[in-house]
Amino acid sequence: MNNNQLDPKENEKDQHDDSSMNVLSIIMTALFSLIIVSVSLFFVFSSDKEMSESENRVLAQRPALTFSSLADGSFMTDFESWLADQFPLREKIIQLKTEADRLVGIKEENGVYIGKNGFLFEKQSSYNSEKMNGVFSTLNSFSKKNKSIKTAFVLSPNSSALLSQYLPSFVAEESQKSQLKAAEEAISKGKIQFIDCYSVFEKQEDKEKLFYKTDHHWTSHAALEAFRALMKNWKIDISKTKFEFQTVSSSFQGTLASSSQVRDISDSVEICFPSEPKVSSVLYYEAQGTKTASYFDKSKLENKNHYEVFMGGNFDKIIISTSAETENALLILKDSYANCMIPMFAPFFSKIVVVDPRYCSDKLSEIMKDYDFSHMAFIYNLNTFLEDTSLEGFLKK
Amino acid sequence: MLFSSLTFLFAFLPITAIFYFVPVFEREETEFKKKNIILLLASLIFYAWGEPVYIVLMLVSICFNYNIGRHLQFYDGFEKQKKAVLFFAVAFNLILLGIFKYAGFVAENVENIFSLSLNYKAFALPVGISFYTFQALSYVIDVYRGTVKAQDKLLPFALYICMFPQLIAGPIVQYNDVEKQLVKREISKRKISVGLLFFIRGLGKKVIFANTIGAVWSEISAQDLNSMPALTAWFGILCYTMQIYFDFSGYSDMALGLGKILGFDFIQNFNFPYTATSIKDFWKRWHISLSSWFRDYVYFSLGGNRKGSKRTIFNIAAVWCLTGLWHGASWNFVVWGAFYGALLLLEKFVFASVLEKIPLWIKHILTMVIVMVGWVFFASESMGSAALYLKAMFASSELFDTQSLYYLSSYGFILLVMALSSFGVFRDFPRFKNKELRFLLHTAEYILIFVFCVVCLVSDTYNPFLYFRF
Repeated sequence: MNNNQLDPKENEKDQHDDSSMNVLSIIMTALFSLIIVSVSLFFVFSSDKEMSESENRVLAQRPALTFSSLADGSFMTDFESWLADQFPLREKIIQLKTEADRLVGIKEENGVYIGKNGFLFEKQSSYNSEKMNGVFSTLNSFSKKNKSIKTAFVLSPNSSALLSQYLPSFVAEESQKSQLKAAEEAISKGKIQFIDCYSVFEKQEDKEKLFYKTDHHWTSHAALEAFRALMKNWKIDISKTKFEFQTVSSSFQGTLASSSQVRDISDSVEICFPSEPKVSSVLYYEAQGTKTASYFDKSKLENKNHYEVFMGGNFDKIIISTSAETENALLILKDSYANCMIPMFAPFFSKIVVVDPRYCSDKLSEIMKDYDFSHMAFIYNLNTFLEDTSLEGFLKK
Repeated sequence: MLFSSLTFLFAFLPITAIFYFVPVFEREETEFKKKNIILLLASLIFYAWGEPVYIVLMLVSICFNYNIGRHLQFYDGFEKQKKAVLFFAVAFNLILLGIFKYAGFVAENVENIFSLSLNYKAFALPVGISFYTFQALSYVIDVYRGTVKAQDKLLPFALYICMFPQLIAGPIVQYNDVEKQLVKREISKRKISVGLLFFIRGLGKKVIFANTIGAVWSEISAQDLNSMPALTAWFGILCYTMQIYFDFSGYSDMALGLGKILGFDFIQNFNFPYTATSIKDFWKRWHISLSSWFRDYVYFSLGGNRKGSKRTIFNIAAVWCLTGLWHGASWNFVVWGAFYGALLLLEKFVFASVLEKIPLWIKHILTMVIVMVGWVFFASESMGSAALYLKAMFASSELFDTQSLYYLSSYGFILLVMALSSFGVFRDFPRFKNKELRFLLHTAEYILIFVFCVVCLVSDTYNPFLYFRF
């Protein structure tokens, strides 16, 4: 992009007496035309892809030319989206751009920080006091109405709080520690027990094991530690239960990798479940009408998002019956962080109802009427919880 | 349609080029006529692609001004009638521009001054209207002045107004510069390849430089201005300074290049404006076609500097307020223009002798600081936010914070490259004496730039939708 010696006057002057330059001009024009025309022809003859797995969305298709789409201009915008979405080597091109950005020092891509040691981080959400106060007062009045149920709130920090040494230099984020403190204070005013995951995680020796590098979730290791803290709070003895880890994937590139298109690192996915004494469970996905005996859907390992191996992903409502010899019944209101923790509850509750308020259209009061819950747990991660807009309304239903 | 769109690059450009270049007629005159018809059709499609409705407005402007030209020619020798026709034409063009560009602004001010509620709903601004109206005015005035002959054919005139390379963002071509080329022009292999290089350079400026740094500016300018530390504010406006230069001059380069490919020679619109050592110098290098237009058709019409110094001061002030207003219907553009008018007057009448003694490099820095302060008015949404931003730059309670350092460490390098490039450091790069070798290297360099532009354009559309899908 240098304003250079390509002065038109100079060029015109010697244009007649310089045949080698003419040849070069033809070569240059031909090369450039070749690039353009080959891309154009690609679009003429290629057939469209339907989905982009790394973006998790449907791609724009060849737009149909109609009088109305021309008149309102939608044909023109659809045409541009079609070219962009179906561009040859699209994924490779985007990765190339990310590489180039990193080369010149850019440290974030699509809202994801590209950290050190292969760690990718979500940008931290900010704490909106007004909104959060509303959520907490709803939570507290809910807990007052249901005093007989032992209720706890498991709120996990996100990876950047514990692995801040791997954040890019100079990243200025709101402190998760103080966000969690604010949440703890507000929750402690009511009847709900706050499970301080941050302190638990801070005591861990190997903090890198707690979070995925390429995904925004915690690992089964973090979930188990949080589970222990929760059970301790509920005074349920888990010492006789053995928890087993099993690696199910070593090629997981999670949502942060997809968002940023940084593809040079993969995570392992370990599942964790109580292996002794043996407990059997039946998981009933009510709205989908399916029943299964496993907490892990290994078919999901064939897709891109291996975290969906836990519970098969996010569902509105799952009703779990276990062979545990207890009267205890548990209600879980959660986001996707809970998915890898749910299997651990099996030996201690005979009934577990898992509800994701983001997707569940049932009335909470009716769910509570149907079952006689002894325990209830909110399981969220900080970022999702700060951005959440569904829990408050769900608690009022 | 924008030049920096995939639609333009991979659909419009190849199709137009095929129809334009593949010869159909043996007679040169007929072939040029064919080329002109193709070019006109292509231009209309190009415009209608983004503005399917407002194309009517452009067609009205073409027919109107074409007829005005014919009438002015007809009344040649009858000064009174000619003046009346000119007055009518200028008024019509300005009213058209006024209705579509300034009516909302006027209504808003009337409401504020008289505390009325007019409930006026302003039109959306038709793309390119400021540019083609000014081109039409230049034609009409030149015909009136007798510096050019009226065009007697509609096709070349229509091309002059709406030719797609300069239709949307200039340069503002004056009729006498292209009069002959509209009918017949030189199209050569050499010119095409040079045009391609210009076009790619412009595309690179826009897509690689301006878009990247523009994103940083949008992020910084969206922050709370009350608590912004000085370093972030300066860094932000530096980003905008680079964005607007590379955006605008990139567009001009693309226009120039496309023009050259089609056989036209337009004037350079930018000449390293950020190397200027005075405000006057800056405006000789920035958006040259606009400053020349205002000089030729407003400043000279008002009498220029021939009517005494008081009148000169008034003329300069008036021209610069109008220049500001041309950039947008809002008070901060007027203030921006007035700011430059005042500075030019100070430079001319007050500080002329002082400035002579100051070393060149200090004058360069001084000019850049003034230009950046000017961009604050230009980039802000209102005078209030401009004032807040200036406060952050010059009177912030904090010098810098972690976030300033984050911006600096993330974007400092590319900003430096852009700044050096805007100073012309990479001019003549690589420097080889051998012309063939130089051209070959340029070809390789520019093809890489083009490929990377496409990479950027495609990546921009990467739109992950990850957390919410059920």
